[in-house]
Amino acid sequence: MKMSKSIKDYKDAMDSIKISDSFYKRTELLLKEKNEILLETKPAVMRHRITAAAGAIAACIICVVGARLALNSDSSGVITETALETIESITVEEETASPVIDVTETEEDALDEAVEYDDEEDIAEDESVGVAPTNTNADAGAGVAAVVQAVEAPATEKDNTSEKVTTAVQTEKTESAVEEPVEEEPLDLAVGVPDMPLLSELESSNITAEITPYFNMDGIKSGESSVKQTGVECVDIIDCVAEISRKSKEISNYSFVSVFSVSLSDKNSGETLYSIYVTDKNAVVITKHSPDGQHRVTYGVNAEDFENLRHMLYLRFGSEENYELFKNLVSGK
Amino acid sequence: MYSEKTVAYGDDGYIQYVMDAYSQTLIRLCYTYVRNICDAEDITQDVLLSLMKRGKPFDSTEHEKAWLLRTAINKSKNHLRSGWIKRTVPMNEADASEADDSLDEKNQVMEAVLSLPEKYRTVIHLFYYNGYSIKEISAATGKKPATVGTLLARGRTMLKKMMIGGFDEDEQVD
Repeated sequence: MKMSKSIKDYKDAMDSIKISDSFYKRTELLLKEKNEILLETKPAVMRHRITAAAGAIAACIICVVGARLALNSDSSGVITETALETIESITVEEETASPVIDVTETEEDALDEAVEYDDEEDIAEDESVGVAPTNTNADAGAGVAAVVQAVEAPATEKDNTSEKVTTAVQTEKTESAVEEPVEEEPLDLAVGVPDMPLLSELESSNITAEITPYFNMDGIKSGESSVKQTGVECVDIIDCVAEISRKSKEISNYSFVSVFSVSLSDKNSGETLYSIYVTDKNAVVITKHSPDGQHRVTYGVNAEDFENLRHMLYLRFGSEENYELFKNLVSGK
Repeated sequence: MYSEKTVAYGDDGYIQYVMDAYSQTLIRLCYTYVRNICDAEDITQDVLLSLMKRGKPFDSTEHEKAWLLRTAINKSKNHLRSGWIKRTVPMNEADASEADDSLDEKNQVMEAVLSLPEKYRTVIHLFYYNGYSIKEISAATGKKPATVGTLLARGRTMLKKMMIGGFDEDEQVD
């Protein structure tokens, strides 16, 4: 390789720069101290690493502690709030303990009063029924089929009114006094008049059932072929009608023709207690008689119960073989 | 003396091997920056110290060489940036400024090279004095090979203008 003069001069000039002996001595010393330097370096590196690791761990711990503190503070806040709420609620209960008890007592009293008002309701119903128009043709046993117009009993409205009044009175009683309804105390009325027993509570042994058919068929004359039964003879009819009155719904504005009538009267006194009309359609009209008047309710009966009742009544007059003819006759076929 | 690399990083004789193989090169490279042999020696020792503390071996001899050269260049630049150096004047330089007439022709060439801007000076020095290839210079300086070639050409042009009679170069550039 041919070297130019300038380059060679540059190289010579650079080579002429003498490196001092101290450099080599210091380098030898550096090499001797190399292990120490490395040992110092390693701890330094280790220190750096340890410091970094410790810093990271400390940061993590701080974060964890901070997060935990934050959570604890939040949860403690919740607990505090809950505790406060609990305390508040307890405090409220304690503060209102007496009133609550009073209210409870008042409610109980009110319930008692409500029961009393129920009794009053019955009386009111009877009173209202006394005003309502009644059909006496069936009771009179007219010779023709009695056309009974199911009239929506004003007593029902009266009942609702009574219920509303009762509810209002209950509310008032709950809030305030017990003495208020004393003026309208119905017990006086109820005490003097024997309460009308329910159909299900009638003692069949003391009941006389007079069953009157309102159709003409094979010697059965409408309104004339009445049959009187007592005790076990009529208990099935009473139970069946009681069951119908219990589970059937009231209906209104319903026109029908009576097929049978059943008059339940006290066997001893002859007092009429209930008048029951079994119609040509799935309806049964029950009139409750009392010294204060009558209460009539028309029940829409399901087909099975109605058929059961009609069947047992028919068998008082006809045979099983003619039952289909009876059904066709009643239905107009 | 280690004529060739027979030791690996971390061995007992590794630093001695680096000393024997690169100390002259590193000192003179640092000298092109600091223009003071003592500072160049200190910087070279600092490079060796950094090598001891490096803690991990090099991928290859080229990597090792490039790391040493680059570390020396960076430490030289850092040395020149220090406030102490900026406020002092080297004694030999002061002596030289007083004895300009005694400089011979060789020193004039060196002074011309050392008066080049840093990017041209380093490339010229590594290429013409150390005989490194453009690829090696590229690895040591972190510049692209094409950039190193351009810097070489411009540096030579600048030297020709600076030196009476021009900067002769019969040597082929890789």
